[in-house]
Amino acid sequence: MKAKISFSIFFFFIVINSFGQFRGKVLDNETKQPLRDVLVKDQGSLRWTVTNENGYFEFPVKVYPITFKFHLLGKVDVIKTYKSLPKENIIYLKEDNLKIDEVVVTAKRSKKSTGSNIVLEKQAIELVQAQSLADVMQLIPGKSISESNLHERQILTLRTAIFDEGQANNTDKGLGASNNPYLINNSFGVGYVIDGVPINNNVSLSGGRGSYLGIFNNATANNSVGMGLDLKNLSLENIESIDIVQGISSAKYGDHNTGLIKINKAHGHTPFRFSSTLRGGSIGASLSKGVSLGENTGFLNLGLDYLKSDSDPRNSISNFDRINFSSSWFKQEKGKYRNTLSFSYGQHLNADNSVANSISDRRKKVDNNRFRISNNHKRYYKNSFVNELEALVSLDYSINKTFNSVRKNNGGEPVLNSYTEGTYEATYTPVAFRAHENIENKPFSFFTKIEASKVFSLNETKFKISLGGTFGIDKNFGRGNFNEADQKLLGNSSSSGGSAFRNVNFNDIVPADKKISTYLTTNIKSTLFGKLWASELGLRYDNYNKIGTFSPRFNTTLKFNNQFKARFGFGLFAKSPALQTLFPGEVYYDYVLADYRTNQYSFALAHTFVREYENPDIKPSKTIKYETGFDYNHEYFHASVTGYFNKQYDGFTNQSTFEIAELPVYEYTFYEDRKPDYVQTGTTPTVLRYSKPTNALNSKNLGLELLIGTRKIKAINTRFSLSGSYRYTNTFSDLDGYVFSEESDSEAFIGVHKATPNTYETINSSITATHHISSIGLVITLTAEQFWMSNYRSSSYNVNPFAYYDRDLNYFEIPESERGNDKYIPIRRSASSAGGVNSNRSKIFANYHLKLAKEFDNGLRVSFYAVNFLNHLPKLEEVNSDGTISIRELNRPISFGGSITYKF
Amino acid sequence: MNKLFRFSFITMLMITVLASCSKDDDVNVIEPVAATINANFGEEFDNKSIENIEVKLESVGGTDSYTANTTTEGKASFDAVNPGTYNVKATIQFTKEKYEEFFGIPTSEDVVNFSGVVEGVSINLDVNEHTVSLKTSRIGNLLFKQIFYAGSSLFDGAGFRDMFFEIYNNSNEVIYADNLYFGQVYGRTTTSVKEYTLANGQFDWSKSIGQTKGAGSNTNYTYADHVFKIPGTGNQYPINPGESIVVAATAINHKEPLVVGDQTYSVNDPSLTVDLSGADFEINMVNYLNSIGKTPLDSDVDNPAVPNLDVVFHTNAKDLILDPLGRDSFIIFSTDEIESFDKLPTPQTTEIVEGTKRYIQIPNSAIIDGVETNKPDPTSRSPRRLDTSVDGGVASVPLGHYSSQAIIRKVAKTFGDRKVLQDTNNSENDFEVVNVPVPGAWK
Repeated sequence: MKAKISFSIFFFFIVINSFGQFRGKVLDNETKQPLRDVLVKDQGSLRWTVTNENGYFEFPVKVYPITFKFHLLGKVDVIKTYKSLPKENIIYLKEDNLKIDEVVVTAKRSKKSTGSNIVLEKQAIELVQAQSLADVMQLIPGKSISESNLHERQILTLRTAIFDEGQANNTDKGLGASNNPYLINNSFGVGYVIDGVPINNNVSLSGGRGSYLGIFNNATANNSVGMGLDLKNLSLENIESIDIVQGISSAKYGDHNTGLIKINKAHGHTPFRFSSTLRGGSIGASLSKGVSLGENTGFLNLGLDYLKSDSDPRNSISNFDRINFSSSWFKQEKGKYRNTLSFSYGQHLNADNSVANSISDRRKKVDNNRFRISNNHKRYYKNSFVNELEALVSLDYSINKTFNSVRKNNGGEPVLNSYTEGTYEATYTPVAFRAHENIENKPFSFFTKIEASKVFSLNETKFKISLGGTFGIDKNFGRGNFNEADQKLLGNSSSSGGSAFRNVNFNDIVPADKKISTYLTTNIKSTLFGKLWASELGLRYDNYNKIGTFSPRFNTTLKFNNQFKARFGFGLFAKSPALQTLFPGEVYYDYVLADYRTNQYSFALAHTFVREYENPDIKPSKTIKYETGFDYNHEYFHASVTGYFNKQYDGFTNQSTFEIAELPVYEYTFYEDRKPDYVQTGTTPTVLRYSKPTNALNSKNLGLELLIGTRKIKAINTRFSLSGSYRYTNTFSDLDGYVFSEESDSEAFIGVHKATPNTYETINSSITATHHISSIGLVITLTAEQFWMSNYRSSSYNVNPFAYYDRDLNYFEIPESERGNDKYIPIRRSASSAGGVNSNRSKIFANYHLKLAKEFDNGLRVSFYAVNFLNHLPKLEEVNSDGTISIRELNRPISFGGSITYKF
Repeated sequence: MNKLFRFSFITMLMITVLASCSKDDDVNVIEPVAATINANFGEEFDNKSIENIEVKLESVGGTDSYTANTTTEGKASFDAVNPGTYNVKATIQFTKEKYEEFFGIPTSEDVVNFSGVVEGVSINLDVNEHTVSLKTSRIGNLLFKQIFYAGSSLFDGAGFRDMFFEIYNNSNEVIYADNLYFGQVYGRTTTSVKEYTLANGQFDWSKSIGQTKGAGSNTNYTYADHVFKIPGTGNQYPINPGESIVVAATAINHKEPLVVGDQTYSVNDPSLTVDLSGADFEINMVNYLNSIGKTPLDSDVDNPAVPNLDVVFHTNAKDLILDPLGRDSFIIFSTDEIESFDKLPTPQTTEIVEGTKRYIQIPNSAIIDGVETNKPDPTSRSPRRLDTSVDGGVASVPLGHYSSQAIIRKVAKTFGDRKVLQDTNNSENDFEVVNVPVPGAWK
C-alpha cells in the first residue's frame, strides 16, 4: 500500500507536471533529421527554449491558445498557434533558399510592429547583390534604384520630398550626396542600430570651422561630417534582416529624429558561404561561416569581406581596397541567458594614390582603421519581479588619416600664419614646391545600456513593461590638421571677410560629449470592443549637451478582423548635435595688404584679426511625428496605406554673423634697392563674417505611402508588388538673409531680408514582378519605376529689405512705406526670381531594371543584375535662367554586374 | 726824248692793258653755277632715296625756275643755276606697289604723294649743295610686335604668370602711347553650327538682343571681353620710331621671382621663362577687384616701379590672362568715345537677366592693329574672331600651351638702325615663332 500510494503520488506528480508541458520535435524538412539549437519562442511573453540534439523540446504552458515561433539560422521561420495541448507535435523547417515556395525580394510590412515598419529579409538583401549597404537601402519603397558610388558618400534620407537636380533627373549614382541643409539634417537624423548597439556619425570632425574648410576644400563629395552615417563603410556580412522604422520608433531608441534602421546580425550555425560580386570597376569578395563550438559553448560567427574599388578608370586618385572582419560569439543557456560578444575590424588598404600628368601632380593617402567591440547580455528570470535584464556595453574607435599633397607653382606666395592679431611682414612660400595637408580624426565612442523588463497579465490584457537607461561618451582624439616638420606651409589666400584656415588639434580643442538617457516603455495587448488591440507607449528622457528633452512615443493597432487592421502613432524625437558644432576656439581673418616684388626685394605686408568663438547653446533638433494607416489582408493580396505628417524644428544650420573691423591702411615709400617703408595713414572698415552654428531650420513633411503585394500567382509563377508614394515637404528657415551693398558710399550697408519658404512635391511609384520557379530555384525580378512628379516652388518675396545695418553696424528697422526708397537699392535682393520660382519637371518618365538569380543543387548561386537594362534615356528640354536652352538626359545609362555565391 | 716818250707810252699801254684785262667783280656781272640738290626721305629712313624725284628750284623774288630729277642716289643735278636765293621743292608720286615695296608698309591708297620744301636756300659758287626731305602723312603706325600668350611650363616655368605683349612704333614719327586701348576679343570656341551662329560656328552678333548695327555687326565690329587702357595725359609716354613698349601681366623677373633678404629664389628652370622687370607697363587688377567687392588673384603682384594700365571693361578676368591655347585674338585701338560703345550679350542669350554677361562692341575703324591667334592644329581650331579686314590670317605656336613659345613679327625692311616690321594684315604671313621670347628685343 505504501508503495502503491507512493507510486500513485509519483504518477500523480508526473501527470500534473506533464499536464502543463508542451512537447515537440523539430526536424529538417528535406533530410528529416532532427535539428538542434532551434529557438522556440513564446510570442506572447519573453519565454524561450531551444531544441536539444534530438530536436526535442519541452515548454511549460499554462494558458492556451499559445503561439510559438520556431527559428533556426538558414531555415525559414515557422509560426504556429496551438489552441490546446497536442499529443505529439512535429515541426518541419525548410531550408531558406530559392527552392522554397515563396521568395520575397521586396520590402515587407513588418508583422510584429504596431507601426508602418518595413523589414528587409535575408533573401531580399542577398538578391540585391550589393557591394554596400547603400544598395540594400534602395529596396525601401520610394527610393530609386541605381548603382551606388563607392567613392562618394552614401547617405540615407527618409520620408522627404526635397530633391536636387540629380534626383529629379534620376541621374544620381546611389544615395544622394546633396549639400542642401535640410537634406543634411534629415540624413543626420537617421539612427542606426546594429544588434542593439547604436552607431552614429557624431564624432568625426572636418578640418576647419565656420565656412572655410581647409586648403583642399574638405567639403568634398566624400566628407560626411555633420551628416548621416556613410553607408559604404558598413559591413554587409552576416546580416539576418534589416528593420526600417520611418514612423514612430520605440522609446528604447534615441538620438534620431528622421527614422531608425535596425540591422540584425545572424548568430548560429551557418555553412561556409563564399560570395563574390563584380560591378563596374569594383570587385568584392566575402567569406562567412558560423560554427558551433560545442554543447555549452555557443556559436562563433565569422565574416571577412574584401572590396577593391576602382570607380573611375581615368583617375586613380581615390582608389582604395577595404577589408572588414567581423566576428561574434553567441552563447545561450536554455531559459537562462543569451550573450552575444561581437568584435569587428575594418581597414583601408592600398589607398595611397598619385596622379601625375602635364598639368597636375597629386598624391592622396587615406588610412582608415575601425575597431568595434560590444557585448550584449540578456538574462531571464522566471518567477521574480523582473523577467528580463539586458546589459549592453560597446566601444567604437576609428583612426582616419588623410594625407593630400599637390605640386604648386605660384611664384611664391605670402604665408599668412599668424596666431596673434596685428600687421606683420609675411614670409613667402618657395616658388615651386609640394603643398601638403594632413588631417587626423580619431573618433571614439563608448556606450552602455541597462534595461529591465517585466511581463504580466491583468484579466485579458497582457503587459510588457521595460525600464532602461543609457550612457554614452564621444570624443575625438585626433591631431586634427597638422604639418610635419619638413612640410612647407601653404600660402593661404587672403580672405575677403571669410575666416581663414589654421591648423587645429581636435583632441585639445574639442571636449568629450556625454549623453545620458532613460526610458520607460509599455506594450499592451488586449481587446477593445471585441477587436484585438495592441499598443506601445513610451516616454524617454534625453540629456544632450546639458539640455534635457522628454520624448513621448505612442503606437497603436486595432485589428478589426483577420483582414483589416488600422494603426495610429504619435511621437516626439530629439537628435543631438554633432561634435563639429560644439567646437570652441579662435577664428582668424587674414588680409594681404601689399605684395610688391622687384629685382631687389619682395615685400608682403599682412594683417590678421583674431576672434574668440564661444561654445554655442545648441539644442537638439526635434521632430513631432504623426502617422496613421491601415493594412488589408486578402487571400490573394495584401495592401497597406500609410499617411504621415512630420514637423521638424530647431534643425541644425549656420547663421551669418558679422562685425566691422578696422583694417589698417598704409602708405608706402619706395626705394630702388630695398624694401619700402610704410606708415599707417588710417583705417578702412572691413566686414568679418562668421557662420555660427544654430538651430533654425524648420520643415513640414507629409505624405502618403502605398504598398500592395500579391501572392504568388501559381499559374504564372509570378507575384507582383506595387509601391507608391506622394511626398510633400515645406521648408522654412528662421534666419534672415543678408545682402551686402556693393556701393562703397551708400549709407545702407547690409540689407536684412526675411527667408522665404520652399515647397517640394514628389510622386513616385514602382512595380516589381517576381517570377519564381521553385523547382529549379530560379528567380527573375523585373522592376519598373515611374517618376510622376518632381515639383519645386519657392515663394515670391519682396526685394526690399525690412531692416538694414549702416556702416557702423547700427541696426535700423525700415517702416513699410519707405522700403521701396532708392536709398535701399544697393541692398535689395535680386529681382530675377522675386516672383517665386516654380519648377516642375515637365516630363513623366520611367526606368526599368532586371535581376536574375539561379540556384544550383550543389550550393552554387549565380546572380546577375542590370540597372536600366533597356538603356532607356529619355530627354528633357529646359530653359535656363540666362535664356539658353539645355537638353537633359534623364536616367543613368545601363550598368550591370553579377555575383556568385557558394555555400559549402 | 724819243727814248723817254717810248718808255712811258709802253708803260701806260701795259697799265691800260693790264687794267682792262682784270676781271670786273661788279654785281652787275652774273654767271650761272652748277648745283646739286639731294632729295631723300629723311633720317628715319636712313636718308634713302629713289630716282625720279622731281626737284624744282624757284628763285625767291625772281622768276628763275629749274627742274631736275634725281638719280637712284637721290641727287638732282642742275648744270646752270643763276646764283641767288631759292625755294627748293621736291615731289614724287608713288604707285601703291612701289610704295609698299620701298617702305615695307602697306597702304590702301592707289597713289601716295610725297613732297618736301626747303625755303630760302642760297645757291652760289660757294654754296651749291642742299638737301631736302620728302614727307607724306605718317608712314606706319603702332602695331603688335610680339605676343607671348602660351605661357611657360606649369611645374618648371612660370605657368601663365609671365604673359606679355609688345607694341612697336612702326612709323617714322614719335607716337604717344597715352590712351591707347588694348582689347581681348571674345568669341565662341566650338565649331558646331546653331541658330545663333554663322556658318563657321562663330557667334552671329547681328542676332544679339539690342544690336543696332544690322548686317554689318559681324564684319564692321569686334566684340571684346576685356579692355585695358594705357594711362596718360596725351604726351606722357612717347614711343620713338623703331622702339617699343612692353605690357606685362606681372612685371617681375619671372626667372627669379622672389628676392627675400639677400636670397634669390628661382623657378625650377629659369631658361623657360622671361624677365619682365623692365616692362614699361603692367596690368594689375588687385585694386580694381577690391573696389568692386571681388577677390583678386594671389599671383597678381605689383611692381611699384612700373605704371599700371587702367581697367576699362572686363567680364571675369582677375589679371591679364591670355588663353594659353591661343583661343583669344588681340586688338589695339584708339577712340575718344568709348562710353558710347554698346555692350551686348551674345546671340545665344534669349533673355536678359541680372547676371547676363555683356561684351563691348568696338568699330573696326577704330582698330589700329589686330592679331588673330588660335591652336596650332588646324583641325581642332575654334572659329575666327576677327574679321578678315582686320587680320586675314591666323598665328599660332606649334608646341601649344605652356611651351614658352611666342609669336614675333618678321622684319620687312631696315633703314639704318630702324626696322620696319611686316604688316600685310595677315598674321599667318607676318609673324614667326620664337622659342623663348625676350621682351623688347628681337629673335
